[in-house]
Amino acid sequence: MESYRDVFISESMEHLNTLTQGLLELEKGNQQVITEIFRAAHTLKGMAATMGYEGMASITHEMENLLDAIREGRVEINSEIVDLLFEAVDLLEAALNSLTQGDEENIDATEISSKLSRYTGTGKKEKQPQRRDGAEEVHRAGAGVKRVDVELDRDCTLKSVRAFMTFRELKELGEIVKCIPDEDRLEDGDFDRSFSIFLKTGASDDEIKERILKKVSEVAGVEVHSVETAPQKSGGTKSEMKSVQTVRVSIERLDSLMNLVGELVISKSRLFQIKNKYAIDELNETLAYIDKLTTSLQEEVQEMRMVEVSYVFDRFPRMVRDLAKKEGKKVEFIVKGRDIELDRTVLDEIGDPLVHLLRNCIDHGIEPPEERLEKGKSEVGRVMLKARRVKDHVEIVVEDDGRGIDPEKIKRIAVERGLISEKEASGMSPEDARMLIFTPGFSSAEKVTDISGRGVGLDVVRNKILALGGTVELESEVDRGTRFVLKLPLTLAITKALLISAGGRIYAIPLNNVSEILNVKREDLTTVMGQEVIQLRGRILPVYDLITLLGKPATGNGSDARPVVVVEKGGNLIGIAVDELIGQQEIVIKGLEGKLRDVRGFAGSTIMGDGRVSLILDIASLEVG
Amino acid sequence: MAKILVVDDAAFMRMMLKNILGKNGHQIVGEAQNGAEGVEKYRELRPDVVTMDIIMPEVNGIEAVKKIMSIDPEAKIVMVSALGQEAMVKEALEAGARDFIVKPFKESKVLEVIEKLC
Repeated sequence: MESYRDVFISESMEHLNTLTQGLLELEKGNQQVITEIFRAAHTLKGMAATMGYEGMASITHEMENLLDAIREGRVEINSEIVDLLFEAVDLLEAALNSLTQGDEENIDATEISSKLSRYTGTGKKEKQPQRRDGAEEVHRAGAGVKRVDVELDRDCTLKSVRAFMTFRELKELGEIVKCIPDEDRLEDGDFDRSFSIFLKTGASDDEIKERILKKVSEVAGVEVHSVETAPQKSGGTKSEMKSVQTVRVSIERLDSLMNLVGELVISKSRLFQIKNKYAIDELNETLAYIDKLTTSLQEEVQEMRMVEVSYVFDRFPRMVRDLAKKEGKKVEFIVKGRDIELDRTVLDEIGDPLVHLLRNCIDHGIEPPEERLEKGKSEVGRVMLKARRVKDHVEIVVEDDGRGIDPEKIKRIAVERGLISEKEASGMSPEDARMLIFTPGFSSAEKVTDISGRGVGLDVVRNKILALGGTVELESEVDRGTRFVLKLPLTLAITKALLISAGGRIYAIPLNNVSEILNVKREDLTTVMGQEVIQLRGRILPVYDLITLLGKPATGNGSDARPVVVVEKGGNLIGIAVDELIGQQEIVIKGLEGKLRDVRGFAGSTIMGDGRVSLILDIASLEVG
Repeated sequence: MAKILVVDDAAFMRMMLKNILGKNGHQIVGEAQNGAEGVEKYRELRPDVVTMDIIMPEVNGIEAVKKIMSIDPEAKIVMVSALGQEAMVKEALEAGARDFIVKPFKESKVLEVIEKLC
């Protein structure tokens, strides 16, 4: 059963998603989706029952009944019912999560099941006592009547259908005079395991017996009291084998495949170095081909790892709905670009930051309906979550049309919290002031709710995105709204980097951090307040020596000109002076582990073509000044 | 040994059936995810037996039975039903389905039904 479990879990997740989406639509008044929701509940029920997950099976069974009643107009949908159905979905999700952990279902389905069944009123029917008689009809039918006693299997489930099938078969053989229990009860399945049919027939006992046993499954036994049949045909037809189109693979396998491809990329660069060193021309063609192959392989694996953002986005409508309801706010939530794809690892990491941003939108951004009306806005606030592909990265936008971020208020709070001084605050531009919300220790929630303002600030969000090699931008206008723009790389494992040397070592700077490279002559450098700067197109650019930044003594490089790599850091451009530029290369990122994990300034390490290890600079966490 | 076409919208269910039937010497010649695809596959593969889920997107199992029966009146179709679908199973049987199995199914039941048809 274990091998089915993974398939069961992943497929059930999809159905739960359908349920959630559908319920949200249903709540908006879209009755069309009910068939789809019903189907999802139904399929889940069958799957859960097969796996023996009784809790899930029982919940979905009741959901199915209720949905069926709604579909047929017997029960009218209201928000109370939708809440209840959501509650049921939550419980199913809890069960699935527990199963994912390798545990049992760990849910109690009785309460929700009984709540659900209350709407459909599927109480137990009263059983009427019924005796075996019917001698009257049998007498009337005259001679040639046989009583066929059929006993069904102990675990036969749809008894009424088995009875129906028996009827159908017997009708082929003669005329049914009477049955016990009566037809209505047989149709309702309201009988124990056996029933009797009185048949006026010319068929032999064996014929009757054989026909039933052959045509009707789940029959434990047939007895015929009194005396005959039809032949059967059976034929085989030819067919051909057909193959399956998709295969499910666990993410770990893709991870390890990606790792192997990474190693291959490293070996490839090693081969190139050897070729160059010994100038082996014969290797040219083969290496060019290997180069092409590894590139395709890498692209292929990356492609496989891509998952639609809907995988994460689809759980938000429900969350937004619940939050808005709790806060007494009216929110229209719009999701765009669900089909944009991101590497699974990146996608896994952005879930929490997005939850945080969306919560902020509803908690701090969107005003209560009365306040919005006073401001002359529509009563319903709008929150939008949008993904789009921009060149080699994906942009995710979270925006609302709420209060906006008031720079003056931000400054005041920052001063109160001692993050900046009074003096710093007065000279600060509105843009810079808004960026303060990303400072650790800043939380502008005037009242702490259980939704946001729990001390986990936006700095965590920003750090997470930066750690992924992405950026966060913020635009806001008071009373018009706020927009967060997250730019994310498509993948994490392999990236293009600029290799540079400084102090005799080689370092890699991820190319997405690099904005340009300058060759700076000594005489262009000036010192302003103890900081070396250069003029770049009329702007002052601080220049730091990489070696000094890394906390080593400056090597006093005597040359007249040095390369300066211009990088973006915290929204500003800075220059990093290095000894030598080596070139651009694809590198495989290996994370720093254990004690090295928290070392600031480095994003990881990589293995160079010649086998040497070099460190990858993490511009975001590099300490300057 | 029978050549079997499995029609079900849940990959999980297809996998269960495939496994049960496969290890007991039957050959799964095809799979379909909905009724329409099931009818197409039937036309193409002419299996000995079809297992047909009832509730499926687009064309449901009952519609599919009707269509397959019109292509091949000798078709042997086994409905795969859940509890509480008596009426639909009956409808399918009236449309020409030969038998049915109920989810959650036991291996022995599935085999009993399939072998009865062969």
